[in-house]
Amino acid sequence: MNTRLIGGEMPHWSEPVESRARGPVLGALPAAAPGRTLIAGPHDPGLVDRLALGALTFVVRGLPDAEALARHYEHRIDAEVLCGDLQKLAGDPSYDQILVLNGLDRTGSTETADQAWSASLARLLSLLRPGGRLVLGLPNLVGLPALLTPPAPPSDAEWGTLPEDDPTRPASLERLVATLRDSGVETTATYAAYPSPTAPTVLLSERILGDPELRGFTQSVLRRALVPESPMLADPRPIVARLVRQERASSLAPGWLVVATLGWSPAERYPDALVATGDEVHRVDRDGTLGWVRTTPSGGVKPIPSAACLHDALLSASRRHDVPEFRTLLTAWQTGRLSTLPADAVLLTPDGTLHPSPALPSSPALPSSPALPSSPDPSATPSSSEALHRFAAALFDEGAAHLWPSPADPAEVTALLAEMAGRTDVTPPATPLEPLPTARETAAARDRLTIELSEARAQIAWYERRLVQRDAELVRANRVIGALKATTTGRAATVVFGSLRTGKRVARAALRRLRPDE
Amino acid sequence: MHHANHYYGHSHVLARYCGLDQESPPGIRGYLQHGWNIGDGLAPDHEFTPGIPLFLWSERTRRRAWSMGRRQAYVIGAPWAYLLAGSPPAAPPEEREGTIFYPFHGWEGQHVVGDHGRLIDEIRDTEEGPVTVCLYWQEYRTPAVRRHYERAGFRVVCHGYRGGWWKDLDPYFLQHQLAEQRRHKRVASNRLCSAIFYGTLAGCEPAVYGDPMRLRGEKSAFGGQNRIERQWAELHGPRVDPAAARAAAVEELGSDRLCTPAELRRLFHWPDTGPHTPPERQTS
Repeated sequence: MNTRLIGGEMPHWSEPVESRARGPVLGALPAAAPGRTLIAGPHDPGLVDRLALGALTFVVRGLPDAEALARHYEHRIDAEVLCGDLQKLAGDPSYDQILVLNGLDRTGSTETADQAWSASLARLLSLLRPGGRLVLGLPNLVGLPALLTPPAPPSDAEWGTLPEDDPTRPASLERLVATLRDSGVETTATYAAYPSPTAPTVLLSERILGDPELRGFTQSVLRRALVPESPMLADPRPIVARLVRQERASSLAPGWLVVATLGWSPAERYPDALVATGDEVHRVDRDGTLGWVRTTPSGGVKPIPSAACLHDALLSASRRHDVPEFRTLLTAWQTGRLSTLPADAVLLTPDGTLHPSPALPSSPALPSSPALPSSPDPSATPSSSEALHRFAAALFDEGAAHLWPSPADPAEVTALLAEMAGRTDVTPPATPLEPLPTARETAAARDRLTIELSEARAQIAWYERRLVQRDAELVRANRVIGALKATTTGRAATVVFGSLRTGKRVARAALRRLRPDE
Repeated sequence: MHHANHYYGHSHVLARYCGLDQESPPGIRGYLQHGWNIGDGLAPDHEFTPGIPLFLWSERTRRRAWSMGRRQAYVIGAPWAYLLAGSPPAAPPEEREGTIFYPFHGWEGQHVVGDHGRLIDEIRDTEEGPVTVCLYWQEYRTPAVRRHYERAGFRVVCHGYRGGWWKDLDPYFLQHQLAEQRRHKRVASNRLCSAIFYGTLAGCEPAVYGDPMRLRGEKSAFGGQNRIERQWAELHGPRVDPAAARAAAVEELGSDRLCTPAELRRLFHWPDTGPHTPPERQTS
């Protein structure tokens, strides 16, 4: 299969791997459509293979990428690769489906003038057949990771107009839907994409994000999806938990994905959520009878309980200084069969029952017996200790470590939590947890340590003052003793005590002589 | 700073524009693009020092350079555009006649492989007026090549030496070229090149036709000649839309992006000219 150059191609350019739309969640989109699919912008071929599409046309701007795609699909006679600027892609409405999962920001070229977002959309829509489907991504410029990203030099791809300077680019999901509607495209499904618009592991519909019944589920899956692995300004997990509570998790999502159709289309049912656990993807739907249900990768259908996220429930109790409730929750978690699971992977139903979160792999390694082992199990205990230790660290990072007297560190609080839960088998961590690569938590830890240091210095100063006071009292006492020894009575007493000491030595010597065996 | 900044008298032209001594321009604190190309503006065989700014001709070249990781790239426009800005045409304008043709040439140490005879036939078939052929100094000094064109009845000229390592430099190279081009109605070549854009900006009707020839061992960097013919297709052919050509020349030579003399002096770390600063930027 040859690459066809359409103009504006970039012979030297290849999209960075991290900028390509990828991941099992996008691969699980029900994107199969009869007819021909156009894929615009950088997409990982592995993702496209997962989607199991029919005839394919790719359009990419970098010549090396086009050649790599041509090699990947050389055995498919129904695939073609076009290289160049999207604006140069002319033709009739001949596509039944257009996928731009990564958004329109990577479809322009150095060789052509920058195009407005709306012009790129119009170009794509001019190629879509009536009734055809558009699956379009839109990174949120004020989404959670964008707001928490530390300053960085601009990338090689930022040679032209930045997306934030394009007034035609929709600023919100609502604007995106309205813009599509104005273009004759009706939206059938919308998703907030976490933790990144390029490689999401969670897609959540507005309906799920707006349902208080699923707040615990949502907090759990988003907390699990947003573990900071690279330097950030703040740990996004407590922030996203608050966003869910305040019903802002969609407006501040890293990006959005919409499924839309041009004009009339048959009614199609899209999932309300797709959640990846490793390579597996769980689908969440609203069932008329069962309520919210999760379809596992093996096809099993399981109800999702209306529950709170245990991590957030514990934090809430801590913030309210409700030690009894905190202890009850902690004990239920740490003495049950879910003790090895992180607190943010456990759901708490109103009756106090704990459930593993759907944000976990389908077969989490859980102890078979709910009973606590009588002796520490070498295989389970470290994991259980780690879950507790991580939660203790989170108490500090999320500003909820005030239940205990200072100074306390995560290791000490871990031991205290174990005591509160009645656990005797929790081993203290051999090494402290790696600190989060986040500036806010680092600054908070520094401030806490600064306070502890000034308190420790104040304590040392107090001890020194006390020591000086004691020394002065001792000197005064010695003087009194010396003065008393100089009096007649004192000398007589010294003679008496000296005789007594002498008599005691003589008596001891006599006893030793009477015990020859010793 | 780099000796290539003085090629074709580029730094001399810019010194004149900035009100400094054209005969003795100061070193430019940076690397000045010295020819039109489809890459990052830099010559592939020149050593590049990180942190030294690049002064590029056009925004398109800057975008390309940026995508290749070059960050300190500033668009100032081509020295040719500054020369035009400071050299208004004579009034009344000189009568223009015929075509100045630039056969594709190699540079120092490079050799062109192609059929000059066939190219001469194509020029004869296309051009109606007198033809001046401008050879690069290498070809100009090669009697066999030069005779080819002279025997065809063409006037043969050479604009001079572009120089290298500050030797054999004709600081008035571009002035010679401008004077020649302003005498001609048309500018043509067998490859789209700097001279075509220069001529277009100087008021000639451009044309690109004939066997494009090739360099011995030519590498097609950034898409090579094929890409040039595809991307600037509207500039190829014996008759070209003058408006489109003019727009392309303005874009590629950055004549709409010229800096003021004071700005250039600051960018180049050149001395101030004191109270007698010449008038600021003139429109091209």
